[in-house]
Amino acid sequence: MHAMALAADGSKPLEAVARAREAWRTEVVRGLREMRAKLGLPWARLRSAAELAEDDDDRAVAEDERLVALLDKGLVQPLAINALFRALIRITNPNATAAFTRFFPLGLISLALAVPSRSELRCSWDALSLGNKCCDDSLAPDGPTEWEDAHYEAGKALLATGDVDALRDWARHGIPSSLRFDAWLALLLVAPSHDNALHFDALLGEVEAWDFAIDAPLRADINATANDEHYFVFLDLIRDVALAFVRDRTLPSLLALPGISLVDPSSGAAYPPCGVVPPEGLAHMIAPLAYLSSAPDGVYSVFRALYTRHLVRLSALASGSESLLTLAAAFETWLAELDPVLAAHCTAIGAPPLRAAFPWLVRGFSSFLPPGQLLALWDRIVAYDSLYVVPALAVGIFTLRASSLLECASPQDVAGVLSNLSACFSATTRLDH
Amino acid sequence: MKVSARLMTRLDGGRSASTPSLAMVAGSGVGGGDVAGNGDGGLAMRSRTSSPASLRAATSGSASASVPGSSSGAGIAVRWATTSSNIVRDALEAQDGWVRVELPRETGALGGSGALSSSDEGWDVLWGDCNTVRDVMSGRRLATGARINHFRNHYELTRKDLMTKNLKAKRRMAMKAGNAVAAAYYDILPASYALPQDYALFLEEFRRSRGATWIMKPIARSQGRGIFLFNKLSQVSSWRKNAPGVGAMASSGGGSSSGVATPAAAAAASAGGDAYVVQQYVTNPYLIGGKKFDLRLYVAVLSYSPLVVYVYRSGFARFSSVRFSADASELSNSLMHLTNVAVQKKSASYAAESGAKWRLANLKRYLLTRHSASTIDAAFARIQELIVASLRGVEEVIASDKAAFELYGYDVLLDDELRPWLLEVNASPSMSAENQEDYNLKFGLISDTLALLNLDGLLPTRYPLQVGGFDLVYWNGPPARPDPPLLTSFLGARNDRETQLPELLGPSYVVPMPESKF
Repeated sequence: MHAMALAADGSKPLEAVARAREAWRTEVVRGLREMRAKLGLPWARLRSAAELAEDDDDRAVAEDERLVALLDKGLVQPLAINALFRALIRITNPNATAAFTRFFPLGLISLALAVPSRSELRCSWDALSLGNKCCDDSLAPDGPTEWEDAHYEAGKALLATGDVDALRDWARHGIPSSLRFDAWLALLLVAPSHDNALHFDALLGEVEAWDFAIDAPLRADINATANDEHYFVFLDLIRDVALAFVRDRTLPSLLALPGISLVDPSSGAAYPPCGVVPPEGLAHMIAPLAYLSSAPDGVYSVFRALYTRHLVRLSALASGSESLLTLAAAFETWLAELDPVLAAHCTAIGAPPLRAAFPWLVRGFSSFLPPGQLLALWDRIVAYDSLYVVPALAVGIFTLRASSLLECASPQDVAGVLSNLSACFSATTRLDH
Repeated sequence: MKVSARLMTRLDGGRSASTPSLAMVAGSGVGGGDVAGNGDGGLAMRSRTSSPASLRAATSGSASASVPGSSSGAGIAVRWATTSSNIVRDALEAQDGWVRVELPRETGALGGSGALSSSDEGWDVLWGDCNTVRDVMSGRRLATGARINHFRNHYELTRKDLMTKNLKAKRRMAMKAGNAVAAAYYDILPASYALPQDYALFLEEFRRSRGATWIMKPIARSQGRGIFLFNKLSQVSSWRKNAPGVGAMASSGGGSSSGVATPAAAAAASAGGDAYVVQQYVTNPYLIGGKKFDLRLYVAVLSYSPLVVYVYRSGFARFSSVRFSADASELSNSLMHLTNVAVQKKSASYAAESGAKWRLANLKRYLLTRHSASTIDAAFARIQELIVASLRGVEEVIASDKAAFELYGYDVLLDDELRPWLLEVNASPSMSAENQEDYNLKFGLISDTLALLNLDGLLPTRYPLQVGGFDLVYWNGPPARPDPPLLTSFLGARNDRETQLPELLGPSYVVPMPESKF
């Protein structure tokens, strides 16, 4: 067995998880190959001069028609959420049986993973506690309060000074929407420079010149946002950012956790060039950022930084450092501690909480909350530099709806109770801590 | 007639002020508390204003059936009639205890009406299309207490040429008097001219603003038919040549239903001698996602003298489905420039589920991410000011009628400096819905309009500051408020009608709720 390198936070990665990751990667790659073969798409195709000369509108119509034809032939997402879920719960560690570790799994995750305890979180997330004010307490667009005005002025001043630590402290109380773009760029450590715009333009050029096989499922994903009342206006923007994203060769070096992709053994080049097979719902993660800036290159810079630093973990099977596995384990542990009756009840009726909460975790709530609330949640991710708010919110939702859930008798009922999340947000961040 | 349980509890609870003697005394006028002036006036009494129904009972004696056994005159159900078969009818049916009646057949002009008596029309509220209303109202006064949903000459506001004429007249008067503030106040339309009568003036302005784009709009058409853009006089001349009576081009027949916006198609569409309004086109609209949008806002006017205006908090922003470009070559692309839903529906990328529309609150939320809260507050305040200015512009021209009220659909465009421009006022805004959200909004809108009419006598004062989703924005002047509100305008603010209405009208009031239709 080759030795495993230490992870960035000094912990040793689990072999069991690494092996599961490999198996998952093989599955995704095989799925991708099959899709390509079945639909007859080349990996990458240089567009002909005739195509390039086409009018924008005509080209869009032609692309749509092609997509419809592919969907009829059976186009599926290569990295689907359900498949990821099954891969996740399959992970077991034969070295550490329950008899040995005295750890009895409470939910679907059968590994004993270290997750922060609730009291630890309570300390570090002080600003979210009920005593302190946050600038999105009332998420309705009514008039601003005095405290909000003061908060806004403080933020503007901090952005001008460029002091990132002070800005981070300030941001923990929420970020006013007109400052969000600049604040995120600063907190995600994106240096504003002209290179960003040039880089994005270059990527757009590649989007026009090359047609990838991976574009097909991505376009289907993008079109799903066209039916969303909050995002249909920004369809063009989302499309540009998503297609540019998969072609970005600078991405693999920036990723916090390695992504799943096809790697050519001889040259080491990854397909797609960004080093990540786009997970199902990628377009929905880009969409809320359209509310930050109307300039596509601005949205792209923010998305790239946000994805490489945080969102990539949401579909990563790895041990330690806030991967999907750890977040899922955190969710189950906290729910079991807070409301064991609820957790047991749901498991007993065949609807384990993790199954219902899983899509929320993988997507970071992106298609489940309206943009205002979602961006407030992601504010906390950026401000605390941690994804643990996501499972925390999931636990909060469960406890908020506990009384309805306890009355459920089947998985369908549970799904019904949890289908509309728009009212949950402000209550639940307070609820947990 | 059936009486609802709610009315019965009101009678027993004695909350209403309509004991028999009071009803007799108040029978001389419509509604108690006839205060002309600002705000809530000095009448702080919490007793309910007497309803038209109770007055009818009091004054008409034996003609209407009172509830046997009740001594109070307030036990009469409200009678409604309508010519609509969509959301308006649904909202009327959902009102607690109201009864539908048929319109009397012969509502002829000049006296020979089919009304039951001179003091009773047979209905308390009529919500009809413009033609029916015109027939009912022609040549006579309606009986006391009846409400009808159009003013006799609403076209002074809703026809593009007359609106232009009235507003320009107000502007001219203000400028002559040297009142720059008032002149700016009425400057809510882009430069407009009615054709063919003002052609000479238009020509002068056209030459002065070389290169500007103009839009030609037919006066009597809706849904984007017959509209086209131009920036060269030659395009207008070709239209004039093809104008009706000089042989409209038959080859582009059916041009009224296609999306093609060329002068030839417009000429074909105008068969029958429509007049046009030519207006300077706003080439710098505010864009979201690169797309142009306009706002549909709802405004209720309960009377023109004194002018009483309520603005609804919810509305829509309607998007074009194509990226906007002020390029001269794209002038004939109606999809890009015309945001009417009827035109956009034909686009391939029309987002049917959302109807290419955003709720006003959503738009406001988005704008707040791009501009500071005070900028947006000021922008919405200007929109509200525009609405009031347009009504004050026709205040003296519209024949006020105690019976009439009107619900207008305002089309407003925002330019990239967040300045609003008035495009059009509709007297019969579309009341069909494409999805459940649309339906809920329009249902609440009609229901709240009916609440404003105070047919049940439940309103605590004549013109409360907020009724459901409506906010009072003008009553012979800006309404007086006890505390300065956080927002200058409540457009796009949270519509809390479900909690506000029971607070206002009493806990026994049942808020009519829309059914699930989709």
